[in-house]
Amino acid sequence: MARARLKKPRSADGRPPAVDVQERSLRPIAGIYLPGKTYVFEDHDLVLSLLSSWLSLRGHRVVPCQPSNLNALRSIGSHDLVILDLCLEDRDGIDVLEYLAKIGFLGDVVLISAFPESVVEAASKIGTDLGLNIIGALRKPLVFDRLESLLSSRRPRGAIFPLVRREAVTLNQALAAGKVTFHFQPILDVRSEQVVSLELLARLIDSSGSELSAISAIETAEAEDLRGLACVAIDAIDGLNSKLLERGIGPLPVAINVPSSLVQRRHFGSILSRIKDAATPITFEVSELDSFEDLSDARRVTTSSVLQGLRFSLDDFGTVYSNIDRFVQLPFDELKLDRVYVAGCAHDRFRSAVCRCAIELAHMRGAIVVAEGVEEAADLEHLRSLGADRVQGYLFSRPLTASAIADWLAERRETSVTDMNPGKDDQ
Amino acid sequence: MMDTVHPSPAGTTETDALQKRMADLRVRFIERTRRDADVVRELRERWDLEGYGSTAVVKEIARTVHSLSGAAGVFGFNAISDAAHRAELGLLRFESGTEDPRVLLDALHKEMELLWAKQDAA
Repeated sequence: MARARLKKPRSADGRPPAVDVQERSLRPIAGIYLPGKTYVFEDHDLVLSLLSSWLSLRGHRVVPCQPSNLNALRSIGSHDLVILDLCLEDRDGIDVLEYLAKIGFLGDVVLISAFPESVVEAASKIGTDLGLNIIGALRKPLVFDRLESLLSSRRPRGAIFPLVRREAVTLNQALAAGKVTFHFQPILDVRSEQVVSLELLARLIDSSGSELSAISAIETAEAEDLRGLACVAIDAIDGLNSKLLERGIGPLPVAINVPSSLVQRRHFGSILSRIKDAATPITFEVSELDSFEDLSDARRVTTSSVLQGLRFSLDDFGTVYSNIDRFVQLPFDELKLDRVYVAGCAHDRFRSAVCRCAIELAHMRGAIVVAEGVEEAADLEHLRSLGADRVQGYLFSRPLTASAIADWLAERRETSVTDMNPGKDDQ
Repeated sequence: MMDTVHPSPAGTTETDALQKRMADLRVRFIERTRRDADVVRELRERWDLEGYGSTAVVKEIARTVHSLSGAAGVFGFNAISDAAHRAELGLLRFESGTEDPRVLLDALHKEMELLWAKQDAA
């Protein structure tokens, strides 16, 4: 029932279609329900009443907050949930978000509103900026199946996303201590779903042995350390190739992330020969997080490298510095569409439009499009229909260590061979 | 701490109870629309008196139809929800030379009259 409803056409203004409640199944769906209270800020008393009944039947201990009674939040705890209509009679929802941040609320927040998506998304980002855990935002008319899906994604606070502040590890320290590790995530052809390349992701290991994303360390690293990281990364690729060879698999092209500031002749020259000598084609994914020190110099580096057979990809298109302007500044072979626009594109008209435009722009310039963060089969199908070239995301595989990705590829190949020879095992 | 979570306690009986609750709230919602229509009518009269420059009245009407739109959608009255949403947008975007939002409010009122007629006939 839920899937069928998602396929219904939306109204001209993009609002999701309302569902006739007499057709709607209000069946309970098994899921994870956390302890704690659920504070509901909703102005319309009848909607509040229905929402409260619906939540109560799912094990929530509901605290109705009408009018927006902030005093009710005095004893709120980290296992609690707040469902907040952004448009309240006596205040707006941003006031409530600010209050929740002020009291250090660590629980989950769901926003609901009939305002346009731009307003709801902005409110969601405000909540995130304030340090709140906004688990989702729903447009009204409220569709209970969507709320059900959102609430079933809740997890005990701290069990999966620890909020412990670790001591920062610099790239320099990690390199010196040999505490840099790499993971690989497959990139697949959208039509054949064959793995065509891998993205290499660097991680640093802190004093507790935990792996951290290298992004923040890279942002503040010195150029010399970035060059060092590039060399270690190429060693890791060589290591992966050995593991692939052991399993009878040939080398796969690999994409590595580089900060924009590194795309300068004085840095790039020293790693270029190493890159060109690598056993596998390497694509540089230029980061969206920083600007070019010298655009003219970056253009010369990239153009010269492309003429020598290297490839450049514009990472996380649609965010920070990764925009149309940058795309036309350099000879990019590839555009990586950010997960922000990919996730949910099958059901969201705006995201779908961004994907469609990006694909059209890239193809007009002779570049291919990789959609990042594909997690839903519906999104994959939609991206395929829009003409995306490649996909990457948890729908296929999370980032894996070299050994794990080699095993994953080997297993996938065996499955593929079996599929191509049905009945072979029966003979 | 997965031991602290528990599955939905809801079953068939509870679902039936929720359906019954929904039916009861739908009836109450229809009654509420009569009051909402009165509120909008009074605000429109004020608007006519104060003139079209009265942004405070426009905002008040927009707020009323905004609430009506959201609630109507939740209770499955899609035509009213859509008509109220169109009226709200018309009110918020109303400037001299744009479409008169009173036309959209009239359309909303007609949708509510249709609903009342159905209820009265039932």
